[in-house]
Amino acid sequence: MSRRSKEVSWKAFLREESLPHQWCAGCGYGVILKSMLYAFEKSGLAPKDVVVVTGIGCWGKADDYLYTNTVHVTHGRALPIATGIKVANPSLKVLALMGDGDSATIGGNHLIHSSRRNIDVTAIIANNLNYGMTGGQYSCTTPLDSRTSTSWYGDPEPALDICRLTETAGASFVARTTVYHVGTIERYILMALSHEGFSLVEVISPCPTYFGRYNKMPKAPIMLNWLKDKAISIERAKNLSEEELSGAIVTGVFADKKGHSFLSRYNEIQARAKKDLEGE
Amino acid sequence: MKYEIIFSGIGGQGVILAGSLLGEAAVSCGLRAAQTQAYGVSARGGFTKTDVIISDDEILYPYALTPDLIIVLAEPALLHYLNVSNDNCKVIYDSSIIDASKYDLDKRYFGLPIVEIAKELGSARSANILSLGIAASFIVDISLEQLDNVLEKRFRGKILGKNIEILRKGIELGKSVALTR
Amino acid sequence: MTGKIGFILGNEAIVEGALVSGATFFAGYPITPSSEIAERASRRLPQVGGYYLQMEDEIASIAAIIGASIGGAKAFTATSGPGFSLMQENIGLAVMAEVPCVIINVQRSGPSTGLATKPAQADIMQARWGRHGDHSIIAISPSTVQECFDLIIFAFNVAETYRCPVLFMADATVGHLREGCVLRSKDEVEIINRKRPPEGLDEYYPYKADEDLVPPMATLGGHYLSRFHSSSHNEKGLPTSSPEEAKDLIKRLYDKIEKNKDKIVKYKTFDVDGSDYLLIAFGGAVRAARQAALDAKKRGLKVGVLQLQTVWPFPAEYVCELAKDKKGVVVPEMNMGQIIGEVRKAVPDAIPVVGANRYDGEPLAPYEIMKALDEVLSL
Repeated sequence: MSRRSKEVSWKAFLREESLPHQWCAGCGYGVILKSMLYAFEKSGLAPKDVVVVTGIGCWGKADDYLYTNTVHVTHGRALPIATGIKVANPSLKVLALMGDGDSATIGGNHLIHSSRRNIDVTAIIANNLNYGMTGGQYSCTTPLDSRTSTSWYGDPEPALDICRLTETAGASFVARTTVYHVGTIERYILMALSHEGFSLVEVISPCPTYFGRYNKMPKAPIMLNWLKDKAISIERAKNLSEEELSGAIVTGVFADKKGHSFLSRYNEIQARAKKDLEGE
Repeated sequence: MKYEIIFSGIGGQGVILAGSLLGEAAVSCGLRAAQTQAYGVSARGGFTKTDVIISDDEILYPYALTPDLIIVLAEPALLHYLNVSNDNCKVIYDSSIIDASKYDLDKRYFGLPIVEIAKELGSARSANILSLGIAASFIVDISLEQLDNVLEKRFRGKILGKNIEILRKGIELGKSVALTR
Repeated sequence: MTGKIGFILGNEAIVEGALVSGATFFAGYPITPSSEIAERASRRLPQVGGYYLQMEDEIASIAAIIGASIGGAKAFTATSGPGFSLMQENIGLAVMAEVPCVIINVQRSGPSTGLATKPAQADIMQARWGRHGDHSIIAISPSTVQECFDLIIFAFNVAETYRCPVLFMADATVGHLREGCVLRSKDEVEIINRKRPPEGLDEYYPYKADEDLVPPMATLGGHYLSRFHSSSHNEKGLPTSSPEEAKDLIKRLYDKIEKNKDKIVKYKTFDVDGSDYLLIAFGGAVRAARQAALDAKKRGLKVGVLQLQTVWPFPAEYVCELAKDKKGVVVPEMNMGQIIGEVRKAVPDAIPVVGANRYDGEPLAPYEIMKALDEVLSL
């Protein structure tokens, strides 16, 4: 990916006065935030062209540190709100920043239908495998049998694969990486930003404070190594059995399809409706 | 002047459409009209009715309290209107569908083979338009021209022609009932 | 459609009025008895370059219209009972983040899925108190098809003026009523658009209010950066846990409606001067109330009617003023008695207040109001 002219530096998107950030030591969200800022810089966007919608959760605090248009909303509803903004104002670049709880658990229905609708919004999902902000309870992406503050004897529920789900539902760009694979975060976000239709980047992130501590990984380096060990590229994964992939984090680009986005389809609907009106 | 008219039947017979066409024609003639509707949880097959109030003054309560005319196109609807309180009300039921012999009906009730006649005129589905004609004949202030207009807005082609014919037949039938008052 | 008279459903008149207001965005989820609003919106909006979005549920619907309004569109949604319950949390978001939008509830009988096709007015207290947290709210209720058209325009105007959600509390008796309706054109009505900040500010504070307690709303993607926030926030739109800032915000959100009540409250009176008795009603029940007042006149009784076109904020002072010299008040509503509580709070204790209530899914009839009037007469 070639670097475009640096008209707007990544720092222009950062609300420095809000620093230091509130994320815990060892949390991966600062890494994801900075990767996103780098991607903004490379995308050629200006702060006023960008709208960042956040929900509730640790990653939902990201808007505090951004110098873009920001919309901080209720838990789980960032996507339908981003949908409304984009449709009303298609010239804006609209992102929805969500955690695993926000995007896939309480907001799971919206995630499915935003994918199906192929709405022109970029979702950046920071997945720390538990509810960090409220004290480390299990979410729908917590690995089966993991210990959390509400699954002390092990999580009885299997984890949801966000990328497989959204790819199947019709999202036209889907990619996953981890905070360990830091270079790819920026690359995938940049790909998502230039994509027409629904684009989604999931980044698995260490939460040493809760998920890590409850699962014998209380320090960031241990968690990062765990992410490194668990990660298997999608190319390699193709040749592995389901058993071999059990517990693995499959990384890479799951979908990158050109096709009709919601807005391009709706333009056609409007053209038909106007014709109908003239014929009346 | 004020008329309260009820079209009733079961879902799918188009009684609500008949009511709205009558109301629309009345408004086109410079009158006031209000049309309300009641139907069961499913739109098809259950008891359905529409009240049409037509007046030259502001219509306050939009439901029929002392109906002048009730058109009944199905037995479940007749059951609903067996005890009409208004002495001057006429209840016209479809005698080609409803066997009224088991009910003790007084002289306010008239049987007319509505579906039968509509069928003879080429469209059994237009029983509602025949009913519209019957109802319209009760209201002198509604012009045939405006009734034709609302039909023209609603229907096209062959079915429009049929309905215009069926409407006239309805008006004729209505007048014959009115004469027996 | 200039000045044309249509014989249309209340639900259809709502859409036509919204279009005249300049609404270009509807998001909804079909539900009886409001579906005709979605159906007409889906046909009409793309004709005028607008958008109809059918969302996955009512939560997404209200979220999408909040987004669209933030994006700069005038936006609305429509629902009934169960859907209105689902929308409550995000109506609170529109209150807190100060996002103008219009939510139509064509009320049906409840609780839960209730009598899906039958009318009720039993969500009127939910309209006031359905969200958690302190705040005021504006709720409007139409009683005729013409009011569906005229008052939805008013609803958009107050939403835009006060940067807030406005609840349009119709009911199935009005939504499914067909009547003649003058479809006024844009030039024939007053249309209000949200206030914008002046150009050339050194820094735009998205939640810094003017004297009217309403902060100007910048154009998204325009000169200023905008911030919207669902949590307690300061004038910059940054979250705060300061008790003073939290209190100031809650107070301002409340006051911007309550202190502008004179400009928001809308009502109609019929024969109230010199009347001995007063009927106070809103929405569909007004029709039965006015008929009952007319019937009472034939019995030699002097009965006036107060129609609350806005139900919230409740005009307690005006109700008191109007009722204080009456011999009695009847409050007809299609519920077990909700607004009657507000009336009782407003009128002097010595004046009897009796309800005329119906909650079986059938419309309230004039004779039922007469019965309540007889009860007042017997006191």
